[in-house]
Amino acid sequence: MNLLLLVWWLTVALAAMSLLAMTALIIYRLHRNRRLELDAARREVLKQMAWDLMDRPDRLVELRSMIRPDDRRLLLQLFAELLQKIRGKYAERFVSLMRLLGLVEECLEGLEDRSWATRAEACTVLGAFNDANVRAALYGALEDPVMEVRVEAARALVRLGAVRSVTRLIRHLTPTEGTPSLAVMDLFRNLGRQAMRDWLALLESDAPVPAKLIAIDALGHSGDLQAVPPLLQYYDHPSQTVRVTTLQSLGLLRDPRALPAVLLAMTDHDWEVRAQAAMAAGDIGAKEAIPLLERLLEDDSWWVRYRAAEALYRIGDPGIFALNDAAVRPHPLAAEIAWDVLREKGAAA
Amino acid sequence: MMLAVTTFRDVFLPLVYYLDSWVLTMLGIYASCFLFQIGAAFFELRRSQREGKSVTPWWLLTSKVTIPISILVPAHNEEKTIVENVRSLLSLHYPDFEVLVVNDGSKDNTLAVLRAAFDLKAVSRAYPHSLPCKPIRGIYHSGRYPKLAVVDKLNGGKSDAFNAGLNLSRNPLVCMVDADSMLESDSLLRLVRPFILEPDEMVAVGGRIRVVNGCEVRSGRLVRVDLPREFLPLVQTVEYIRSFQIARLSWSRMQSVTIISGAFGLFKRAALMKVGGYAHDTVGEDMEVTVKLHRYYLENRIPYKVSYLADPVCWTEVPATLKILCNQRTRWARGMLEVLFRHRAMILSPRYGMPGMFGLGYFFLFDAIGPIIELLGYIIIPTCWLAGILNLPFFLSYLGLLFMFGVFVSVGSLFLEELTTSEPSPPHDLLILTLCAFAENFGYRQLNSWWRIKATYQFLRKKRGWGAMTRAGFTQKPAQKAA
Repeated sequence: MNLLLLVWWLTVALAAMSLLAMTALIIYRLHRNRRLELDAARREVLKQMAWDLMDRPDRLVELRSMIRPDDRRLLLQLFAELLQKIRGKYAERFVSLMRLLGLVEECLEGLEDRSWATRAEACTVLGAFNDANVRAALYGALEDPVMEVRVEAARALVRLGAVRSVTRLIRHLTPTEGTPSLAVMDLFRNLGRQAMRDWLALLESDAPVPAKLIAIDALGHSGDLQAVPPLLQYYDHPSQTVRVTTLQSLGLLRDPRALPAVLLAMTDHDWEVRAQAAMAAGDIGAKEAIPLLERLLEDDSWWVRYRAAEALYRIGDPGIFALNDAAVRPHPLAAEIAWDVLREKGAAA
Repeated sequence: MMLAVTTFRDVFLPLVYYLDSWVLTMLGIYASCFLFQIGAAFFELRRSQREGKSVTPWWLLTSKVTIPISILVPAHNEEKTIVENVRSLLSLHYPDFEVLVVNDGSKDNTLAVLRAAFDLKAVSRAYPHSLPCKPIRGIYHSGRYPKLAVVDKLNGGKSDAFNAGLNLSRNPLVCMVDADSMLESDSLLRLVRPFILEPDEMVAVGGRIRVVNGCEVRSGRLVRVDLPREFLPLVQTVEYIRSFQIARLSWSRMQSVTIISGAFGLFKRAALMKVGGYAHDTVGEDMEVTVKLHRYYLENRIPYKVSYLADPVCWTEVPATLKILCNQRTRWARGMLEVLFRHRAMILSPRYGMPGMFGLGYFFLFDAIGPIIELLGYIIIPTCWLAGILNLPFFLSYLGLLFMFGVFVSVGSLFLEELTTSEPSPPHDLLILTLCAFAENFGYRQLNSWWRIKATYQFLRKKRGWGAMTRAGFTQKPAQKAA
């Protein structure tokens, strides 16, 4: 074959492929438009049926006969969506309705599906059914190769209050190094005080840094003051992220027992830690922090100076007095930030 | 005469064959790159769709993990559209954000219309002077809209406005938005996803830009998506689809996104501060800052990621006249050349990994060198024809192959577009876009190359400045259409 013929055939092949692809795209779009239209209409019908059934459970047999095989997919999508948005009595009614329609079994089968999206959706819906077989299946889903499915299974277990082992959950959801995703952090925060013992044990153990970060963050959000003493071991951890997260958590807990550690953290070599320590001092609102916060007004980092000035303002009258005093001090950086913050807060003398 | 022609052939023919082999090699690389990009873009799209399943906008809206965002909007002479656009930004769905409009020394009534519309009052705000920018004349807050702040400063250009905004913003993430762009209501919730999933490593994420010409917009909200009616915006629609659905998705897959559009990008504020913010001396400030981020993190061996997502959408008006389009394209090309020149050490250098080899390498080979080769073709081919050494059937087949390849790539981008669309849309739009992809080969493509050559000339002459961009404003479109 000579070059001209090769070029010619390549052109024809590309034209044919483009034409074929375009035809396929147009057919696909026509099909998709029609499917979207039909699905939207049917969803409305099913939604109406579901609401009716909640008010008139006696119509179950009649309505069940109206459900087509393809409706199960739509029902699952509908319930998965609604369960995230409704609470209380309506949510309970929805759950019992799903049981009556046999959707629990459908979801349990969905966990074995080849498509990860179906498996993840099944986990989401199963999070509404506190049955032994569902909990076991969700535990099994924690071994799924796809992270998104594992996260959904873990969220479902947290929602059900059925987490047996925090360590196992951490093992399946966190990286071996680096900071875990905020989606995973949120999941563990939602465990609340029920996991207190696990978190405290984890802080005492030699678990890797990401696991400790999760524990420190969750303890801060638990609002339980039992967390303060173990957290105090971490304000001077070698990892900067751990130190910052610890100070954030101590700030959230607002316990004066944390003050000595916070004051020490204000002298940290890392400006982000110093800034976070200043914020924590403002959260705790202790007057004892004023002298060190005043010193931080002269820090090299603008953010440390700003956070210190803000903390002084939040401490109240003695802090504002210190700010006014700093505004006329000979140190230009301290005077500038004190003056700026006082003006911003409308508290300039 | 015969002797002259023979001598010409003796000298010219080997040169033509030499150049021809170069052009063929370049085209071979170009075609392979595009085919590879289509595949990479497909896998990247699937990956990001998978992540989007577990971190949905609804989940983000109701969880407490969203990261506060400052939306920075530089505005220069935008009195016609600014109020509507700010209203649109204020109505975005996101738990914690502020809109920081930077009035960059407008000569019109931009500040006055903002003050009147949002009941702005002068306030004091503490801020660091970390990044260089022109003096700030005043800071205003709205009593009725607590999420809005307006900064009035002396004119210093877009980069200067961004730097002023960066100095004033206090949130960990900053979203750069053009004053004439319109974000979809859940676009911030979608754009923040990579920062939620990889809070430490992610430093910048770009979103998708779509063409608003032809769509119906009411009160800063898009109510109906449609294709533009005029040829120029239509052909730009094809270009935007190709650029965002193929090029950027594939770069994202290869960890080599070297440009995050100034019209819509989300950055870690601390990362921008580390690299010194936006450069004042280039018109390609959005590309420059992205490349600078890569350079900083690679040189300091800090793990990082720069990504692109196809589902957060920002709508923008594209030029409808050749004059404005020419200004825009020459400015873009000049900006790209300025960035390539400034960061020339990174181009095709293994030290700079994928961003240097693949990201900047691509720009260098196809956007900087490509138009020059194309120009050479326009000189050589007629010369060959005049000299009687052009094999016309071969030339025409070759041209046909190039055109068909362009159409094939465009169809590939439409395929990827289809994967991201969840709303019903008319099938004939696909036909119109494919026809456009074919028609762009006759004139538009050559014009584009010419503008790039012009930009190269301007770059060599060290030309500065932006040129004019006249905006019609979003709300005028339905009325225009009705007329």
